[in-house]
Amino acid sequence: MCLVCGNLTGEPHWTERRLDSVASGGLDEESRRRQDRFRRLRVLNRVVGHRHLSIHDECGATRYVLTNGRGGSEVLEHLGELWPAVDRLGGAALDPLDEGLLATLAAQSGSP
Amino acid sequence: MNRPLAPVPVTILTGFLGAGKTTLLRSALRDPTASGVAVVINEFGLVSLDHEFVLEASQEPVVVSGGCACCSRREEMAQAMRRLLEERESGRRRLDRVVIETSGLADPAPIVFTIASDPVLQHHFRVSAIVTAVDARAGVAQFDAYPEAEKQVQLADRVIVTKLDVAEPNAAEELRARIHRLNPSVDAEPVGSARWLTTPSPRLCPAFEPSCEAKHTEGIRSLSLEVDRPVDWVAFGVWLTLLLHRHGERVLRVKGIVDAEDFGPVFINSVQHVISPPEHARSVHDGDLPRLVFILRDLSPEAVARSFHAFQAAA
Repeated sequence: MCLVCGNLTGEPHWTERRLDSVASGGLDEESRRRQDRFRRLRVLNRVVGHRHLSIHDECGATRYVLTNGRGGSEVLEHLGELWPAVDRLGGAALDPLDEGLLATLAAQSGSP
Repeated sequence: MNRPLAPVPVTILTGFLGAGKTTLLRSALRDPTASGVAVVINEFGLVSLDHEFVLEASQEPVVVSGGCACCSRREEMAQAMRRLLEERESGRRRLDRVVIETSGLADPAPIVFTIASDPVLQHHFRVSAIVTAVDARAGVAQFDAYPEAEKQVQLADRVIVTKLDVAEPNAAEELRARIHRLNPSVDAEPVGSARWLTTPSPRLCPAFEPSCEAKHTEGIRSLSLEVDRPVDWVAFGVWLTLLLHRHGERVLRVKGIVDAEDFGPVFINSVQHVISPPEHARSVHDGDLPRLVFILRDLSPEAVARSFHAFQAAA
């Protein structure tokens, strides 16, 4: 909690904050949030799958659950907490510049 | 409860020893547009500023648990900033803007980190610009001898060249080229207008080459990544958070504009691991083509560009 303004809720992580939308598509805020979350999970699973990890939403779609298929799991609030957990559960640091990871992404997305 | 006030903009004024920071600051504070400015001097030797409240903050870093060396925390700085808030709350101070003048050897990154990570400060302050003063006569020699001086330029949103009146014309031109190599996203400005404090920093240097190319200066490389189609914002967030998690110490700056599919143009601005909350760009100047500028240390620009595109394709 902020001691000066008394704000009890933390700011959403920047990746989950909706900026001014130029086209709402008729969706309300909660629907858009869940739609973004669904798309984010799809991308994340392609990325963390490179370390044989998977990620899904906790009930309520406010936190993520990362699992490694060997019984290890962690509950995470946002992407800022996710990557250190991926390193821990995946057994090695995940590098976005790693050509192997990029090849995995290309294979999953059907890119050349 | 009252409606929360907008975050107070914070300008970090840095520059090597003798670069003329204090003179620059005094000049800006005399300008009528600079009312309500609080000054924090991050220096051992204090310089008193007329009618301004000056707080002493030592340079001793306190490393935050889980942080890294480049993001060491300035506890005294945080305390000084909290005191400013308390004074505003009690009606003893108007607080429209804060200037933090760093010591000549300071790395600005830990100050950005302190404000962004402090549970109180993050709600009430926003780093609006890092302004770096460079001495026209001594700047090149200082870059050659002191990595601290180079980093102050690499992290800058605005570079102001001082003492041009006593510098050789050739020296000034060499300095300007060197500054551009260190940080292609800024254009070295001659000292002049006192309003550098209250006018927005140029978002990107208009002279920056609008192409993806790498330049090399002692392990420092820059990348201008043209983003000529709307980016998938979700994939971009995944990519940038992972890039800064893994390589934040070597990604000195990311700055620029992307055209997000859902939001339109968005300003992106990070200093090492710390990313400012992206802002929607309500007006885009003609020179602000969608592109991201990266200042990298010992990282391949080509690899960063390949990674960006691969994550976009994975969306």
